[in-house]
Amino acid sequence: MLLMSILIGAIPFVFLGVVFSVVLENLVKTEYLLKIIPKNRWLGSFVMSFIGFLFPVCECGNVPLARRMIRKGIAPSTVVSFLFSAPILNPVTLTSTIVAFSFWPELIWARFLGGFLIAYSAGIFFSFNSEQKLFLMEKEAEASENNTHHCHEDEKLVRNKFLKIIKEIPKEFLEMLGVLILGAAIASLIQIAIPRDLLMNILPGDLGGILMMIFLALIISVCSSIDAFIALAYLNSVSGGALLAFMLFGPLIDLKALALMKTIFNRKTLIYLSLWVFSLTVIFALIFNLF
Amino acid sequence: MKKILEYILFFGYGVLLIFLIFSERINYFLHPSMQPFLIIMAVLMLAIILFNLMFLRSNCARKSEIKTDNSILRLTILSLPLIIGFFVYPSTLSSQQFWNRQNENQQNVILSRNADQEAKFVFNSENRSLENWLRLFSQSYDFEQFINQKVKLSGFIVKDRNYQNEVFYLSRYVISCCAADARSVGLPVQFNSKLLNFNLEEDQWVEIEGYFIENNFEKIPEKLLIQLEAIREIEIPKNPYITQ
Repeated sequence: MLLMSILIGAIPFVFLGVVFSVVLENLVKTEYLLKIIPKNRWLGSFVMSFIGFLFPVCECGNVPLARRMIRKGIAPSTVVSFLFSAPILNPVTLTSTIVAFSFWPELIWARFLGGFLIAYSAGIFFSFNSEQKLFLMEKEAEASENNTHHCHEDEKLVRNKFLKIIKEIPKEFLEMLGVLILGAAIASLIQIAIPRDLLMNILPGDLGGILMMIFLALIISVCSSIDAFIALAYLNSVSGGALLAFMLFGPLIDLKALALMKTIFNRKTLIYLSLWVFSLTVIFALIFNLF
Repeated sequence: MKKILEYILFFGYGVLLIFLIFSERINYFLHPSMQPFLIIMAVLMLAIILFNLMFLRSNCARKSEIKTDNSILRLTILSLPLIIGFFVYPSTLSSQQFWNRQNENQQNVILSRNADQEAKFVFNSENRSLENWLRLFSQSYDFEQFINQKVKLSGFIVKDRNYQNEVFYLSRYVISCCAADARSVGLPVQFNSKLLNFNLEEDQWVEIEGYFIENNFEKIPEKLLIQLEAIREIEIPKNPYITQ
C-alpha cells in the first residue's frame, strides 16, 4: 500500500525526467551543451546550480537528466550541482514553500539559500578530484567515454530523431523504475517499522530535533514539491532549524533518490555526497536556530 | 524478445494508471490533484508504445547504446507493482499506523485555506466535517461554546490506548501528496459499552451522531469529547482521506 503510493506518486516525475533526458540526448548537440556550461569549476557549478530552475521535476526526474548530461561529457562534479539544486530551486518547490510558510519568510529564504549553497559547494568539492570517472558506476564511465556516436545523415532528419526518442523512452523509464521500486520498498518498510512519535522523542534538544527531522526526511521519501506542507505539520513540535533541515535534506537525499542515484554514482561517492549534504544541513539548521 | 518484454511492461504501467483512475482505486494512494498528470502520462505512454510497434523495424540504432539487464529478477521486480495494482484491492492505512503518524498538534495537520473558510460558514453543527471541527478548535480558546453542539461524522475506529472500553477515536488520515505522507487526526468519542448494541472493531468505518461534552479523562489530551448517541457501520468512502 505504502509502496504503491510512493511509486505512483513518483512515476509521473520519473517519466517527465526521462522524457527531458532523452530529448536532451537527441535534440541538443553535445558541443552546444559543452559550450554554454563554463569549464571553470567555480562558474560551471554556479551555472548548473541555477539550471535546475528550468526543470520543474523533483529528485526522481532530474536523475535521468543528470545521467544524460554526464554521458554527453559534462563533468560529473558539475552535474552534482544541478542534481542537488533542481529539487529545491525549481518553480514548483518555490511556490509550495512560499504558500506553506508565507508567515515565516526567513525560513523560505533559508531554504533556497541553503539549497543553493549545498548544491554549489558539493560541485566545487568534487571538482577537485581530477579523476572524475572514479565517481561513476562502471557502465556510466564507459558510456561517457563511448559518447563518440557518429551521426549518420539520416539521423539528422526530424522523423528519425523522433523515432529514436520514442524508442529510448521505454527502456530508460524501466531502468529508472526498477531502482525506484527497490528504494520505495525500503522506505515503506522503515515507515511501518519505526513510529514517528518515537522518532520525535528519542533525542532531546535542538540538535536532536534536527537529526530526527533529517531521518524522517530520509525515510518519508516524498517529492520536494510538497514537502513544505509535511514540514508544516511539525511546526509546534520542532524548532525552525529542524524544519529547515527536513526541507534541505529530504529533496536531496532520501531512500528513493539514493536508489535512483545508484544508477550514476558508485557506493563510495553516494556515501560522500550524503555525508556532505548531511553535514551542511546540520550546520545551516543550527545557524538558523541561533537567529 | 527483450524488446517485446519491455514494451509489455511499459504498456502495462500505462494501462495500470488508467485502470486505477477509472476504478477510483487511485484515491487510496494519491491526492486527487495528481490525477490529471497521471492521465496525461498514461496516454503518452500508450502513444509511445503504439508508435514503437508501428515503427518496430526502424534503422535508427545507436552505437553507444547501453545494454540493460533483462534478468528474471529485474523483470520480477518490475512486474510486482503491476500485479499488486491490478489484482490486489487497496486498503487504507490501518489503525496500527494511527498512533505512529499522529501529531501532537492536530490543528497543524489541517492547514488548507479551504478548510478554514468552510469551517466558519457551516452554521449547522451537524453538517460540519471532521476537518471543519479540527479547524474550528485550532482557532478557538473558548471550548465551552461547543458543548452540547450536535455532530454527525464519519471515519474509522481507533480504540484509545488507555480507555479501550470507554473511548475510541473517530479518525481519518490527512494527505498532501500520497499515502506515504499521511498524518492521522481524530476526535475522541465516549461510549457506554454496556448500553451500546454495536460491536466496535478497530479500522471499522462508521458514521456517528452525538454531541460535545467536556473531557474528564485524564490521559486524553483533547478538551472535548463526543458523547455517542447513534452509530452505524458504513462502506469505506471512495476518497477515504482528508486532502490538504
